[in-house]
Amino acid sequence: MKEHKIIITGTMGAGKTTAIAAVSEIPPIVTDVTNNDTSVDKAMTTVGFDYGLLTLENGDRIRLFGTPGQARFRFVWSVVAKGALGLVILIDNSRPDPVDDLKVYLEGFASELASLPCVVGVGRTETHPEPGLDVMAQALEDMGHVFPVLPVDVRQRDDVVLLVDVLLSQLEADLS
Amino acid sequence: MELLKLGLVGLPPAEASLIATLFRLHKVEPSFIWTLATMPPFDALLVDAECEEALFLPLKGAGTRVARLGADANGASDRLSRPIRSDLLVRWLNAIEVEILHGGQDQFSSTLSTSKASHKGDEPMQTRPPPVTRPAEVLAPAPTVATGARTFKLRRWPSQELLKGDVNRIRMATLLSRRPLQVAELVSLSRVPESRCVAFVDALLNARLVDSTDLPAPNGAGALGRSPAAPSRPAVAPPKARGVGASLIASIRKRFGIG
Repeated sequence: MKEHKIIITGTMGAGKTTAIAAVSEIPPIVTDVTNNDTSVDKAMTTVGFDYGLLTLENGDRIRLFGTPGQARFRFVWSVVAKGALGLVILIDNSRPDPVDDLKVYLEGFASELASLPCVVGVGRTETHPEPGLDVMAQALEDMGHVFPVLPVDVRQRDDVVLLVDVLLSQLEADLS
Repeated sequence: MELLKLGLVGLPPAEASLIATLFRLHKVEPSFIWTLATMPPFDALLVDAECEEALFLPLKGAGTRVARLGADANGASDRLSRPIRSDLLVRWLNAIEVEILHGGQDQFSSTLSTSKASHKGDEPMQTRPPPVTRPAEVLAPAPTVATGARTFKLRRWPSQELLKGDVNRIRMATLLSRRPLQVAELVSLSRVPESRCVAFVDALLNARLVDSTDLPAPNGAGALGRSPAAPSRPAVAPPKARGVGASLIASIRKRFGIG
């Protein structure tokens, strides 16, 4: 039995825990504590790793890890991303500067992103359409990346599955 | 799932045995729906290049695709080169599968479930900032897809307007974002009919979102007689070295219910 992992990262409130819950076959193991950051209207925040699990037909496991979103936990990002199948960066478009948020994660995972499949999922675009996804794509291009940028509602399983599908397509391209 | 049948005509026993072995290896992938057959009807025939047409014509049905296996395919869609390569064989089979099973139509009729359009009903579409152009860029006429053997590589993720919430377009764009691909490779990897792949790449070209490169001639060696350098790849362990193979990807897709 082999184990593989998919990493989900993003700012506090971007929906990492919710995204894992949308697809995990077990209730996600959540390591939340009371949020004392008054600038973010959120009661709880992740300080460890959210954990979800999927078991394949042959017994192999896909572990879903949600990293703590705050930049002060950046030191663990590279550790947890080691050997991962892919990285999902969730961006909350309602935050003051989503493009800057994106850059934090692109820089935080810079060495892994030289080869690791990655997809950017942007949430809350219905209520906060700006900056548009094209602006995100341009920011990626300016930083030398071409990653898929998709609108996402992490409460919808299909949207989360599409993010996974996009990671898998990147792996397929790498194989051939 | 209906199995498609491949017949072999005129191939040396060792080569036929090799193909049979490749089929056994690929059968572990849920998406591989081909089988080797000895009796018609055949969906495809792989024929030795020296084989006379009269020998396999009786085996060929109205819809049977035929490819010749010989010394040099020269990029022709009805030829495969020796020594036979698993990836090129599967690519040819995948292209046939798309034509037969999907009849040239979209494999997936659904779009994104929540279709994150920024407008609903009669509300006007949100205006978006104009695409950014590089000041020094000379806007030469956009090249078209059907100009010889070329590869295409996405240089920026397309707009939602171009993707239209279409899962197939998202998949094609994702593949093109990863490395330069020929249209034939894109067809094989995406399982989207060639006509739609060409249309999408054309749209990307017109939007100046892809870089296109002409492939060197098949015998295009350098001045010192060396083969052209392979395109550069990320300098990290390839997926197979990390234990990631086509079967794992297929299993994950199946687990998530992804078609």
